[in-house]
Amino acid sequence: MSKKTIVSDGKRAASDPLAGQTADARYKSFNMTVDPWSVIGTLDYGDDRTMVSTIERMILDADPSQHPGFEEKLLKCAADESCTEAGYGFICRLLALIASPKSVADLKKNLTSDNENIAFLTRMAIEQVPGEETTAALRTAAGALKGREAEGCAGAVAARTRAQ
Amino acid sequence: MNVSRRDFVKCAGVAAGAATAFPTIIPASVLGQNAPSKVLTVACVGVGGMGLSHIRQLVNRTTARIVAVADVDAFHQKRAAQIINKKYGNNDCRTTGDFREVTRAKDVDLITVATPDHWHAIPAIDAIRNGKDVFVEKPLTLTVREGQVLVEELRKHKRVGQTGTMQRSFEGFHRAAELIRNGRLGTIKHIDVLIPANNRYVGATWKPEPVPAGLDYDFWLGPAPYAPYTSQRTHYQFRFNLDYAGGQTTNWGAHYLDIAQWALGMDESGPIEVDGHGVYPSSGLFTSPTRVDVRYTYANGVTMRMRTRTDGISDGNIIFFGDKGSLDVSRSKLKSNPEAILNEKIGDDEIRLYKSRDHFGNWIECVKTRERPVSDLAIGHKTNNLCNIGNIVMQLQRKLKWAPVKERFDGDDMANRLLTRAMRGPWSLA
Repeated sequence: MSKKTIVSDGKRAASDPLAGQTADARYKSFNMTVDPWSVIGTLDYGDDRTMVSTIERMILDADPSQHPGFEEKLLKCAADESCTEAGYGFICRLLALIASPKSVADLKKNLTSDNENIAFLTRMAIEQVPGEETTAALRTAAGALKGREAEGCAGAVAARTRAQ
Repeated sequence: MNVSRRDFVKCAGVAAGAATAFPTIIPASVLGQNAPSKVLTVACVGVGGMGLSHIRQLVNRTTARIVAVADVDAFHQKRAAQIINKKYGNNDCRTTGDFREVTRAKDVDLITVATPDHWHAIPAIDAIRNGKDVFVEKPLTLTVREGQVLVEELRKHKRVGQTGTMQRSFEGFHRAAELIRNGRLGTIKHIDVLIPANNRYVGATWKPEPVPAGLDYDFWLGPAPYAPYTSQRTHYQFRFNLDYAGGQTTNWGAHYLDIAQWALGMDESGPIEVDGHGVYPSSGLFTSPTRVDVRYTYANGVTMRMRTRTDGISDGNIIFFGDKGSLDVSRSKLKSNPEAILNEKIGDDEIRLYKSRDHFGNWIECVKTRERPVSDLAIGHKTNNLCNIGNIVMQLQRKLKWAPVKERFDGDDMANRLLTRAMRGPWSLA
């Protein structure tokens, strides 16, 4: 009796692209799975979230001591000029959970982005970071912004004060 | 001060002139809630599915009269106004796409809010700050922080606020809670809560679609992050997207966890520990869990487990287990083991719970008496906290310590950050 693992290839549906392939070919396909960190910046509205949800789970499960490392990786993805708006939004949602004053320092320029969606998403990422640096960044942005985000940013400063 | 009919009409003319033409019904605020007509003027904010239910609850009453509706969907506005005008035999019902036109209107006494959940707190707070009494649908707010601000504003402005957890006005639930509070099951050990599964599903991907004519989609999104329109996002389905609601955990949990809180006498408190696991879609438009399993522990040792039911029944139910028996209650049944428990009388010297048999009627009565209604917003807020911390614990998948009065988690910064959310401008809780 062979000690090799036997992988049956006779039961696959004809429509399965792996049907009829050798076991080696199929194992190779497993190794082609993309790095989820490289997918975030390409995410568009309506896209399959399966890969990026892996990152979300990693961060939710992480020990707090791991947060600075994840924050660094997220900020790197956010800084990529090719990052999509939806991808930036996904990053900001995750940063909202773990962001530190480092995120405030790195992202505060985006609080006054001409793109109101980017400006708000940035505020979402850092609004809950405790400390005066955050309040000062939000206050400065509120003074520089025009339109709906000017009010939103000012409201966020007032809400922080009220919560304290 | 006694006010003659003639003086009343004269004052009313001043008020009517300040507001949009509204010649016959005078807001009680003109002369106080004891005005001769005692007809309170109502504006309904959000008149889709639940909003129509509010209208049906109000339109036949002689104590209140609907004068305006607000909805970001012009179709909803028109449909609601037609129902109201047909009932009143006129064309007086005003319509608007901006809730602020009614929450700030001088000729409106009461505001009902039946918008999607992410739009509950802001119009309710705006109404309260403008002197209106409010009826706010359940789940009361999207976040714990929104609920805190809402209750603070309610008390500060001395308004009357009812939460839409109407099971407190159902005889069966009242009877069950009263039996439990008076020890007929002995010491309560455990509570099982079953809630329905999600009843809408979408695939792994979705495509942006053109916004339908008449829908102010940007206003619909409001404080939530921008996302392109797709038909499955709005109206009923908003319930299954965590940007706008909390899934069935808040949709049905708000009803049944509320009965647990009532029966346990925990209206001003809550559990001290929460644990749970949810099955989340890893892709697609919907983001709320498709299966929920949350376990709560109270300081007195009572445990409660809320799960998604799998029998297809579109109602929840709650089963209390005590050391002398059990009691199973839902909207369609009230059963006990032993059966004799249901025949027990509650004596005059025992605990009698707040009795209401008409949730809207109780609210309107309390507006006149300035008493607190059966589902005062503070009670709805505490119940809603259970729903929200349930969603948080399922998301984090780790046991959390909860301080029910302080309304904070102990020692978990990430969990505490999930108690509030950033709001897209111009909206805020300021």
